[in-house]
Amino acid sequence: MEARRVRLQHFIPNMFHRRLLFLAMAMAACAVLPILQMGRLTVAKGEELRADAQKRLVNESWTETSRGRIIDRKGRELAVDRPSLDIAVDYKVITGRWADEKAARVARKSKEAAGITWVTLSQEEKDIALKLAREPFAQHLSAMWKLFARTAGMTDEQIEQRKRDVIEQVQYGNALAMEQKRKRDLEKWLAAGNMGVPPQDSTRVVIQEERQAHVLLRGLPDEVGLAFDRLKDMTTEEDDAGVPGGKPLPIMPGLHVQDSTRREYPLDSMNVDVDTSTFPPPLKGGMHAVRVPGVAMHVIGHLRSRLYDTDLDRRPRIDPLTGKVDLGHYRPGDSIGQGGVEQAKEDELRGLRGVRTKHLDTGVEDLTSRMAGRDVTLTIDAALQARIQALFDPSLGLTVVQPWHRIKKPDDAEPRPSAPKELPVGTALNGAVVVIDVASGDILAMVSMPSYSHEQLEFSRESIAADAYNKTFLNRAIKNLYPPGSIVKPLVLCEAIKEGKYSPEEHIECTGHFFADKPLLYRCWIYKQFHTTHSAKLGHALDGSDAIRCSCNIFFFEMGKRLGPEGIHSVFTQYGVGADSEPLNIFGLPQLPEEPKARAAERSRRWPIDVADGDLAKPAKIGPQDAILMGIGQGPLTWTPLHAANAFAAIARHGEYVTPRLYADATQERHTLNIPDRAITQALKGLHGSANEENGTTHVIAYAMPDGSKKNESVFTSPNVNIWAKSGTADTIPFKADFGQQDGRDEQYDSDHAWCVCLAGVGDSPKYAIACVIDYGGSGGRVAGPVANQVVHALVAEGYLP
Amino acid sequence: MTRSLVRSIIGHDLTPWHGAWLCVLGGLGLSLLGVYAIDLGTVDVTPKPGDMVSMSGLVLRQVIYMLVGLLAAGLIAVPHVRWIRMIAWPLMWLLIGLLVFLLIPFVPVWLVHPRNGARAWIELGPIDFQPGELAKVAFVLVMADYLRYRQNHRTIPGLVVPALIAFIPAALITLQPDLGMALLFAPAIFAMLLVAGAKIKHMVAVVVIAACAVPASYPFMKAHQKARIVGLIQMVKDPNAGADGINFQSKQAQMLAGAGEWWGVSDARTRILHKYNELPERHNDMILAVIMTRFGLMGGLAMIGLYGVWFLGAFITAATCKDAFGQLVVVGLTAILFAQTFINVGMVLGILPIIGLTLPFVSYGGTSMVTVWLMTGLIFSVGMRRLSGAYWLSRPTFEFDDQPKYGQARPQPKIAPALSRRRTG
Repeated sequence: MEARRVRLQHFIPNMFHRRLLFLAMAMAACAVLPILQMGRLTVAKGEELRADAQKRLVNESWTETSRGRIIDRKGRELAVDRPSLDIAVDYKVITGRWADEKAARVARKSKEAAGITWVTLSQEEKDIALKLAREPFAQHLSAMWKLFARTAGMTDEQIEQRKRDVIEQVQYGNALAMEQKRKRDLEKWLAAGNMGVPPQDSTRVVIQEERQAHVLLRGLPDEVGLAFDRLKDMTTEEDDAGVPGGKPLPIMPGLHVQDSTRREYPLDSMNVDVDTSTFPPPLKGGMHAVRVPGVAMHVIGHLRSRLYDTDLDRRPRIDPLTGKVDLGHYRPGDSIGQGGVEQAKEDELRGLRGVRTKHLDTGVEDLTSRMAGRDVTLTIDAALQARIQALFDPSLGLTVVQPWHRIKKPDDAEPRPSAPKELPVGTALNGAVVVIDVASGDILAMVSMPSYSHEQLEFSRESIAADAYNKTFLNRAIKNLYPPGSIVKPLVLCEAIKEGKYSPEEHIECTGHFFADKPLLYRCWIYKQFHTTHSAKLGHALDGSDAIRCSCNIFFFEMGKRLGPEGIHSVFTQYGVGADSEPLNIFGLPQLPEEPKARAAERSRRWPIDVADGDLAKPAKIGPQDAILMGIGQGPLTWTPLHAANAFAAIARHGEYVTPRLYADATQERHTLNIPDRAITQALKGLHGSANEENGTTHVIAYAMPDGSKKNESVFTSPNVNIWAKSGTADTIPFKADFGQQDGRDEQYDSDHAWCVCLAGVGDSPKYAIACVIDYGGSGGRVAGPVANQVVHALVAEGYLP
Repeated sequence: MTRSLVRSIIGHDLTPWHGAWLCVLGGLGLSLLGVYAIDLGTVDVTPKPGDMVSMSGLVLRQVIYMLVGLLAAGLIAVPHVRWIRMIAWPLMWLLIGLLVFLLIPFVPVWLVHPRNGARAWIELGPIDFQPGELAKVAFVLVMADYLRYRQNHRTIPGLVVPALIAFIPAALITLQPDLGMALLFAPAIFAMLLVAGAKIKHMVAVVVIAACAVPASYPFMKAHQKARIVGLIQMVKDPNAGADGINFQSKQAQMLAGAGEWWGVSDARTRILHKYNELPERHNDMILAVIMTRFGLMGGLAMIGLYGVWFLGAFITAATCKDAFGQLVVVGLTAILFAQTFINVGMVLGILPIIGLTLPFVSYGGTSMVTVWLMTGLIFSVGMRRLSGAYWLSRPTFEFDDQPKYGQARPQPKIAPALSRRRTG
């Protein structure tokens, strides 16, 4: 050390110079750190930082698109966008941050005017000053929201709810952005070769939505929109919170009145004239005008203005596959289809926004034109649909419990007090009707009752949702699973002949009960009700057509037994019932994702419009006794009215299966079921006999007239229409409900589901398949039969049948 | 008689070519760079060909400040440094008086208007005067005068008086509060004591004590000062911490500086980037971010190079000067300028907390500009008179009895080491 010092002194003899050199070297060493940091920022991170800086040079503004129309098969508009006005408010005003910003400015100015420096204040003093300054602005906002609600004709709570919705959606978007950033950072961190737990980045990402206005009121009528337009430019007379030189405040800060569209459902409610002269004799009358609310509501669906996380996840702003902005992504204030076609065809109907991208540096504007949503044409006939829905109006009495619905059975004993009760007379009944065009497979009508209108939805959503008995939101035509009962008998017959288990020439004795030693089990309905047999009544054993006409259980128990579990299983799978078959996907839904969590989320999302699948036990789970029972449509088996109408349509086509369609442009699958013609002939003969011949179960009903007399009348009364029909009375489990006669307590009731499925046509050619089910209606022929008859009359009235 | 008086004031044997020219050259380059950067940061768009040259009011003022600074540098370089030395103490007392005046609470706002929370400016109509800026220079002059022929600063008690001389103006400036400005006194006194022969071990001890004292001073800091330190610590842990709050300015500065990448972006794009990316004080404390956006890493290095030219000139001047006062003045001013530059660059680049300190020559500001040119003028004055004949025969500066004589190796101690240590301690 000493030697080195000596050498340094030799070269630089003066201490001042030596220390000056030391100083210069120290300064040079100090300069290394900033130079390295310069290099890091410009070279290592330069690209990223430049990209960040340039983000602000692009200003995007969106142009709204219009949603596609939904139109029926005759070109009637069922849902359409009309020009209207939207009211949007800046996000900072919605959150109240506007008041904070104003208060900060005013507080600082006030202090500086008093000669007090803001930064020298303690945090407590600042908080007090800010709180005092915020008060007038908070009051201003409070008054604004009251005026806002009053102008919109809504309650304060409704406006608050909409604000909360917007804030939640923006916060969720922010959380998504944070998550994406975290993933990007993690990828970078791992790519850098790091191991272990990555550092936590607590930076809050500010997304564009936090700087934008959000729609709080959508689709306003002109007068309301213009009222807001006038308020938009109005200001207070005084300056802001008494600040010297302050500007007057806008009455409604951050308010924007935007041109937009409003979704309208022109045929949401229709007036229908119902001719009751063809009704059952006790209900006959003249023309009745019926107001039908919510025509085809379950089919069309509606729009909801609240977006859920799943919606944002399903269609995020940045498409994860392409990395580009998806112009159809959801933004706060957007509406989304809920239920029906509005939900199922959301992506097609929705369209794509236009975007005007202004590059601030060059002044160049890129314009991506908006793309209007695509129209969707349905196979539904709205007028026919309205006519069928009108039949369920309780004032007509067709679908309410009537005295003639009940059949007094000879072995009926006085019911025990604890036994489930029958539905009281006058109780309104629910149900579903599906009408399919045999030739095309088009669904002409798909009715689920009760229905609900858009108006009822807006004002009574909670009470409708809470009604557990009516389950109004449930689309019974595709979502309610019913045991089919006797309506499956023609299908079972066809399968038995097809499989060689039964020859059309064979006759089978109706013995009243299937097992000789068990007279209380596996009984024929005629034995159960009248202690006789079909063989005794007809005077001979039954062939297939006789069995269908009389709906003989013993014959079809035998068919079930002969077909066995495998055979009886295949009867139904070929019509889309059960997990082993392709479900009826009339809404055109995509396959469910494989991943369990996503699968569950998607199932939940598509609840109102799911596929019609039904329940069917696997062959291995079907015992011999089950197979026998399934021969008459009971046992481990359920399906939907859509299945029933479609299966009968296949019979009408002589065994050609066509997937039913709801969209006019839907592709259909057609294939033959390989049912022999002789099987079809015998089945149709039986169905025709059922509706038109003596002993047919859907031929004649004995009505109890109000004067106490009885009157017999045919179930089907259209003079020019040929009918092939089968009724079914499907046993189901008791249910609980409160019909108001008890002290608010639910009572247990028991009744069967009433089915009637028929083919209607001219001459020997069935043209339309009609499936009608009345929930807990009881006798299929007595309850559902007259409804099916009126559906035929509706087809006549709409010109489908002569 | 007149000629004699002039010679007495100006001195004789002036050297026309000397190292201080480098300071002038560096200063001019930096000043012009600053004027352009202020224009970039304050005018939105580049004028089209044929348009009148568009300059913001700030640019025009800065040009005027630069010219005034050059004039002041020229004027201060005229009298011999001994005259400067003679007015050092009165100037210091005057400035201390002004610093006290700034802190008087009931001084009307039109005369002392707080800016960014600091009572540092006296409003004199069209001119705003910041006494703290001149106090730095005055302090260097006073300290140089104090240290030039002393030896007692080579003892611990001997360091007390220099510390007191620095403490009074630094404390007054801290109370404004302008912590950044006050901090500049520390490197100045350190550098001057170092070259004046203070013992290394004493200096190390002082630095260690000061380093330990810094955390202890935290509780006495203002809330915003604490927030900035906390913000910097957060930013070290997490680069994006406080990006919307306390670190907003720093993050924006880093983003815009980094956006320049290697060679920077065009003039128009720089203006656009700075227009739409809000950077508070971009024409002032944050001017480096503008320069780096425009010229990238190369621009940043070129700017550091210009400072290097200035420092090189100052060091050559100090090294060639034979006068202790002149040497100490140059070293003191150089240390101040270096510290100010280092802190400003560090805070723009995110390695130091933001404490409100301008970039010498480059940032907008009249007092700042005039002061750095005054400093340059003083160095020029010293440089011009480096070979002043009166000093040729004098003993070389800062030679002490316990040090080896000029040009000689240190004599080996002939007595016991313990005694030797005591004698030389």
